[in-house]
Amino acid sequence: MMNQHSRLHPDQADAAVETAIRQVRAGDVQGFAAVVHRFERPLRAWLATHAPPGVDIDDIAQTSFLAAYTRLDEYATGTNFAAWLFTIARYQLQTETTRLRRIADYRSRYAPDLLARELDRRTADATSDQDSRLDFLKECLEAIDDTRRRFLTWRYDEAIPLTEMADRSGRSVMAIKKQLWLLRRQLQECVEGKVAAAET
Amino acid sequence: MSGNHPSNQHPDQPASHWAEERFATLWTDYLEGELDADGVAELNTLLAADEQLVMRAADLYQLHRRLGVLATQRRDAAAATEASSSFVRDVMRRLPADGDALARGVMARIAPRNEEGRAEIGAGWRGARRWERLLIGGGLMAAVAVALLMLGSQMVRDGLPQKDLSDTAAHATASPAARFASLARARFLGRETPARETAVGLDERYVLSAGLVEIAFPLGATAIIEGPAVFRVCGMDCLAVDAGRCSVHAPEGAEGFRVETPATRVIDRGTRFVVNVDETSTTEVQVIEGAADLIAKADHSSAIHRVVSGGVARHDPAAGEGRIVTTAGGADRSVYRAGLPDRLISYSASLSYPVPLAAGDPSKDRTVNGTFASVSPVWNNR
Repeated sequence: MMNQHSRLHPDQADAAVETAIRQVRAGDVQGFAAVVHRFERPLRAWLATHAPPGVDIDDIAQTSFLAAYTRLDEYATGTNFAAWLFTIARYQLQTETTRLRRIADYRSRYAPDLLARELDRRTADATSDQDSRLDFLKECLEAIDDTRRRFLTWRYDEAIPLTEMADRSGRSVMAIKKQLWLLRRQLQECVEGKVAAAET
Repeated sequence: MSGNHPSNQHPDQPASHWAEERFATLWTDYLEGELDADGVAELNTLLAADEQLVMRAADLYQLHRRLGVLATQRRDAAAATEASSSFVRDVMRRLPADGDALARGVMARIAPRNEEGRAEIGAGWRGARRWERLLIGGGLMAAVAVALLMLGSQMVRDGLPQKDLSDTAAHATASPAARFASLARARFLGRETPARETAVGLDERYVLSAGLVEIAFPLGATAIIEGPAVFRVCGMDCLAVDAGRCSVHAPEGAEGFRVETPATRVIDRGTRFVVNVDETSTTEVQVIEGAADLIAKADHSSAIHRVVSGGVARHDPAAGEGRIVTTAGGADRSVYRAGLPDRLISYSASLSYPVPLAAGDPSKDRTVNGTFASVSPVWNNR
């Protein structure tokens, strides 16, 4: 069930957010639900692409909204609430990733340290082109033939084990891994190509 | 591990080719959750030797996450799911208690007024700014709390298991031992915000209008109180909460720490629990870890209701003398505060954000291992 806020034109949606913020400041706590509805999906998507392994995306998203609510008086009405909220989320994420890195066994349990640091750096330098990559990825996926796209469907939509993918396709697990590697690499190159084309 | 070890590298194979192939194998295993500690170490070694490889790893990782986001979007669209609404409900439930509602509830218990008086108060209340309402409501809250304590404390104390009188005397004369271990945006009515590590006045009533305070008790227990709240330290192992919410951690050695509410006594039996007292003096105890005993002060039998980890107990004074309702497995871990926010630089909106916004709903990371205590909002107390 799509909420009404996601059907609004972006300008209308932002105006609705400003209205909701004024209501919250006037004492209507429930008015904040409109703000959460508006930014829940893009915020969680942004966190998903910037958070290293081991981070609970939903928890960070929730605490970001809580922090925004608590500091709502500091937001200048009519400016860019999305930017303000995402700045809060960025700091929340960095705090959490710092905490995880300090856990002695994080490196062996979750992520190569260098990967986590690079993701951290990208979070700090996050630019506005991240959402276009999601759209480009959709286009790149559609360009892949069904025979090969099924591996991605099995992996991400159905989330089945590699052994089951091997059974279904009649291939070995090693071959499945190779296929996934090639598909991911192809998609990455496709997305980067579209980004480069968009910039020219 | 396979035979693709550096020492087994073909002499004619360029090192970079070998590294590329090895990266492909290790990276896929990593994303599929099949990389063990040795594999992570080897991957780290590869990445450390080639900065470009780090960039590629990050690119591929983000691609992997975006594929998950798209899959979740498809799933949600296909199922017409209420996952989004559920998330919004979860956020709304975690919002700080509405100070206005709490103050209004306390005001409703003040001596009766005529209808006109109520209407005037209501109109004035609605016309006031939020901070003014909180300030006014808080001041009235404090006055009512004092009155209630004076009227009710003697009545309810008679029904309780009495502590040793010498213990009581010791508490009355001992210098305050609890201290403010940490504060986050804490604002008090009628007093300046105390500095960290200052003592909490024994049996002094504090009205916390906003923010968070962490109180450390001498025997090791800690309590994090969320504004708006009215509380006082009633002993070396005793915290009285007349209104508001507190998260208590009583480690080994601090068992027996108790929280006194207007109508109940909560005794810790190790280790973590949340006590919430609303404007009707309804007490709710959620045990996050360990166990706690709940006693209704109006229950002359002083029956003890034990609540164990994951359980919830609720006492509504209006529902029946001494009646406590317990529920197994109903505790919401997200309401427990394990700590106060870190200090932080101030926010500045430096991130540009595109319009229109992409609809995204990330999938869960398979390697997620979330903690039970939520991460507090990040701010400083200056």
